[in-house]
Amino acid sequence: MNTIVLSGFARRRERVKRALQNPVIWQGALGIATFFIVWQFARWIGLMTVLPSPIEVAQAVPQQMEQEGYWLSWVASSRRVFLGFFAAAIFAIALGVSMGMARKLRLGGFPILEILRPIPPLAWLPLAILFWPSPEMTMVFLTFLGAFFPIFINVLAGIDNIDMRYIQAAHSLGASQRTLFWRVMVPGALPSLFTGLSIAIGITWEVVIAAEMASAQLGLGYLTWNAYMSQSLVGIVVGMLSIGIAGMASSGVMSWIGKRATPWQRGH
Amino acid sequence: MQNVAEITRTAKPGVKPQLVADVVREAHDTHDPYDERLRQSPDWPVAPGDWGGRIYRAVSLPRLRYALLGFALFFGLWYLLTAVVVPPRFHFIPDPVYLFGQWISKEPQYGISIFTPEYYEHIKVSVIRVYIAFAISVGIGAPLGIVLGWSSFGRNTLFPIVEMLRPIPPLAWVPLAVLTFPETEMAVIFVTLLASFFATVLNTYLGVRSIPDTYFRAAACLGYGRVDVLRRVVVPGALPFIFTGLQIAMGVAWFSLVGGELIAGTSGLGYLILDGYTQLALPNIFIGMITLGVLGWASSALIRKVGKAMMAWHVKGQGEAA
Repeated sequence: MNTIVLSGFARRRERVKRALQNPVIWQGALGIATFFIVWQFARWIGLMTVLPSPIEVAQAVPQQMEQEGYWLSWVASSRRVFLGFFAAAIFAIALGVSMGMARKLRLGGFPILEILRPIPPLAWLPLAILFWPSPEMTMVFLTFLGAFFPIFINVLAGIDNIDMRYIQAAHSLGASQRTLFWRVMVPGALPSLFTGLSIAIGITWEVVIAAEMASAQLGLGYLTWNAYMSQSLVGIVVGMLSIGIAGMASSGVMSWIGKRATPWQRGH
Repeated sequence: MQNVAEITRTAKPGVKPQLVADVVREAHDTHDPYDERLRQSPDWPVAPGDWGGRIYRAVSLPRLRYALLGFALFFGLWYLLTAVVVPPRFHFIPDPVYLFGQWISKEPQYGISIFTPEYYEHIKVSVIRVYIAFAISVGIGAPLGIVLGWSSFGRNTLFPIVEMLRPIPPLAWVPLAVLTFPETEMAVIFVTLLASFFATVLNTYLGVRSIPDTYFRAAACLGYGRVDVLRRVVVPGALPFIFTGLQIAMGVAWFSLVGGELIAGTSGLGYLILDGYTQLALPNIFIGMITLGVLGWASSALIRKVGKAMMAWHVKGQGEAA
């Protein structure tokens, strides 16, 4: 009995020891610890008079999370992001696939999109506020714009980069148009599509934050802006962290789905 | 010219290969219908000095025809929806004739056209901001990326910090930047450089990691010191990725600049758009948007050009998008 407990204890100690000897872990911990300690010290010795220290932020987190509308902000921002993102994904995939497969459509339509593409999505904000009847629609439209072009370009690139020999092989094996589409085009373009989707979800979060700062009544961007207006620096930092976590979680979900959908890409 | 072999083969079957120049001259001299068809193919070399032929060729390309058709449809629809039948809320969009007329007018209604100094003032302010931010982010980001890729201690300690800060979108930094920096100008530049900084760091890092280990071993065998390895192996090896990173960095710099100027600026093209919104000067909104698009596109094209010139050995572009 005694020996089993000891060996369990020893095993655990062994595992901790090995983790500490792993340079990736102890050096990583060292880096992050240094970052926070420098930040804290800069605050203590008065170098940073405006920015709150990590300890102040950590103490304020529960109180910030209890404030009215914090969780509703999460819901509002996520809804805007996902509505715009899904609309963009549907449109961009449909347009990308049709342009990738119909040459005339592409020759006629692509140059126009190439001219619209370099206009930053946020530059559309004032026009969108004027044009759309409600702020909600404005923000969904902006996230749509932000997500549309990366997805569209990547779908098109994915179709372009399919090896010609695959298509020829499918043809000579007697594939129908439908088989060619589902068995060659779709799997060929899928990895590139997911690259586009994960770039797009990052951009939608950036766009929605700016749009909310400019014109919303609720949302994580509005929360941060509100904290700025009431000079609550802790609130600003908590808002930023929440936005970062939201963006990271969305990207994580996206790449998880991407890995699931293209299992043959695992080695890359 | 890759079609040389094809020309000599197909132009005169059965005849032994001739000099390409002879074939070209002959086909221009004779009026054989077979040659005529060949001459109209896009691969056929145009005789030097034959400008008419060159223009005819350019115009008759299907690429151009369809592009023109697309543009005609786009502008036609725009005109139709804003000048002929105006559905509700479309009155906020100026019709293209009025818009471009204002743009090149000597006395624009809202004070912005290619003849007013204010227009160039806004352009100058925005361009200077973007390029300062870009220079700072590359100046710090590229060396940091090299450290991350090259030294395992540097990677283990610094990479978690970079990964911790990277998910926060640049525009979420606006309130903090405005409060922290003494001047708005610095805050806008800071917001502009954040995203391009992370794009540069990440792509430089990936570039260094993509260099095969054998190169480092070969360099060590040849007695290279650390400085030589940096100059001859690490930098050239990472260059293709670095340039991909710079292109992304330029794009996101313009993106964030607009956000920064909209929220916190008092000048620049983003501010021009916002001002157009508050004054309801609709043409100015569009002029600002299109100018931003052109400048952003031109900056990326410039980087592509520099990259191509610097990497003559690198045939096909490769890299990773951030």
